[in-house]
Amino acid sequence: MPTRSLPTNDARNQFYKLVNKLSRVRKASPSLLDRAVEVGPRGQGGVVILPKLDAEAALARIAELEDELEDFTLAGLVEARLHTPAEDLLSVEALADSVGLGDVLSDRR
Amino acid sequence: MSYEVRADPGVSEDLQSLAAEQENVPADWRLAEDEIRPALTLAIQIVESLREDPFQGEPMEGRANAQILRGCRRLKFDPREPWPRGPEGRPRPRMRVVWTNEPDESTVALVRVLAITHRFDSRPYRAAAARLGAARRQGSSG
Repeated sequence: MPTRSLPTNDARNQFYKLVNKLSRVRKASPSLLDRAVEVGPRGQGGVVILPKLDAEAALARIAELEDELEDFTLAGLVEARLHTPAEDLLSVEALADSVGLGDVLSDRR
Repeated sequence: MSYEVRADPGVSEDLQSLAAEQENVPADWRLAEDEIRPALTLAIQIVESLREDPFQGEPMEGRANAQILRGCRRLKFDPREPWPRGPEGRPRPRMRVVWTNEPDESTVALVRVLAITHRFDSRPYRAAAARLGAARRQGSSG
């Protein structure tokens, strides 16, 4: 969680200064919460203010990790299948028939 | 020109397991029950379209942990329009067709369809977990 926390009243008094500081950021921090400030009633938090750049970098990293996860998953499937003998492969028609969708093929419509 | 397109038997399993697999997919990315048949239909139509154009989709880079994918092509698709968006806000279709042009892209004799999967397919992880479990049982009994 953010290392800095402010009660709502203090955050309101410092709001312009806080926004100016966080909006001047030009480089994303390594962690989403490095520069984040938590705000909430009685200092209990609940709302987080952070530079847009840090949020965008974190979201881009999640997307990148999802892509890596997908490739890793695909590699597991593809590795064994690259070596299937050609005579064991299915025609497009046989593949479609195997899932009951032979009628969607253009030459059978 | 028409190219010879053939699919690995595992691709049929991919399609047949698609509905059952959805319970392992994160809720936001799950195919709804009424999206399964449209997804399968699109998949078959894409595979058929490879006869005319095996160069569609994107060449795969093969990241460090998935080098075996280098040389494969991938076409992403989704039965939902507009496509669902990823965490960064870009459209992220949920399904993929993966194939390879053999022997290479300049002289295509065979278009080998390797996989048709949801982007979150847990089968390889469960298979790895099962292999690990079997190895551990063998280790403890031996």
